[in-house]
Amino acid sequence: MIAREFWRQQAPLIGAALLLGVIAAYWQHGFVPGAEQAFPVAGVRVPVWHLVWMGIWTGYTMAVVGEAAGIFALPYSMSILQFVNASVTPSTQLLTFLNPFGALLGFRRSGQWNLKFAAAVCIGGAVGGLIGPFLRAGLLAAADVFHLAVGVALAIAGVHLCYAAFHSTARRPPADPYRRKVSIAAHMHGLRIRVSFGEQSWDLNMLALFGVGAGVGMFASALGVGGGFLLVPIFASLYRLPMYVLVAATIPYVIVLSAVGLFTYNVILPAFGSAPIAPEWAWGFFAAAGGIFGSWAASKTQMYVPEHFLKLMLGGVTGVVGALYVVDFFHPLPFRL
Amino acid sequence: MNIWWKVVPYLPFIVLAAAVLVAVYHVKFYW
Repeated sequence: MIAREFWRQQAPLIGAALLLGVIAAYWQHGFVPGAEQAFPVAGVRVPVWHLVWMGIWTGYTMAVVGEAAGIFALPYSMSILQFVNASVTPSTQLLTFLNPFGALLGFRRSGQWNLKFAAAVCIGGAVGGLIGPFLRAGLLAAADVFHLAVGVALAIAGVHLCYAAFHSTARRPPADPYRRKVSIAAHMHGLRIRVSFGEQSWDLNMLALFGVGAGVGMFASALGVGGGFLLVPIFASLYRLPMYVLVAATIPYVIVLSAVGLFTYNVILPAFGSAPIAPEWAWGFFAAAGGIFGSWAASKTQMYVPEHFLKLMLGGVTGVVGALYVVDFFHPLPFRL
Repeated sequence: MNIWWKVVPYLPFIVLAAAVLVAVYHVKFYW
């Protein structure tokens, strides 16, 4: 069953991402960079299999704990692969754009889908995605300031994962919603929207959703991540939305924000007189090929892994790396970050 | 039960360990 699902649904997506990577490399550079010839935009030599592997491990480990690959892939690209110029941001944004499609299809099939609920926060995300790249080109242009901002984001993600490790049991949904078709309903009245799932319902202010989407979108698109690391804790903590409901808004949000962010980096920035920040397209596509496989593998095995311990461990690692980035800004560390 | 399913609970840790090894390999040969 799993093998058939993989070959019918996932393999074509993965194959398409790899093919797009090769096409993008020839289109952008006239050759496929890798271990021998450096990626010209990134300025680093790295085998293509390593980029695919980065997508697999970041997509897998983060999806297992309900997060997305960007918040891990970004610092890994910067600190291990040494992709340090501004193009790392849109290149990772391409990964965060493509990565959630598998999950989106899966959630849509299971009924965890409502465009009315997702609309306000997604429109906010689109506005944030228009502004964030200007922050990246201005305020966060210096490498050390950008490292500091990534460090703060990692620290937030780390604290959230550690917090979730202790609190997720209470909010864990019953197994049923994942096994049979469910439905998330949404009714708008004025500026408020009532989202309901079974007998539960939440009354939300759409202006607040828009504001949260725009704020998170600005910060996330300036860094080059999907924004889930901020949006999920806000929805879960402030609005008390359970995970199986909030994904109906957060997954489309990450896709919309990443798409608008990529468009802004390539088209809007030059239209306003700034230099465009071109992504290393092949880098993003190769990583996304791995990411699609990794997040699919996570969705199949999530129920069998010790989630709490894993969250605590990943949260600890993320928090420590984030803290190192922040400390490095104020007191340069004796090793390269 | 298939032997592969017995490995599944340890898979995230195996993947993370492999990621560390690959990262060390990259730092050693490409930096």
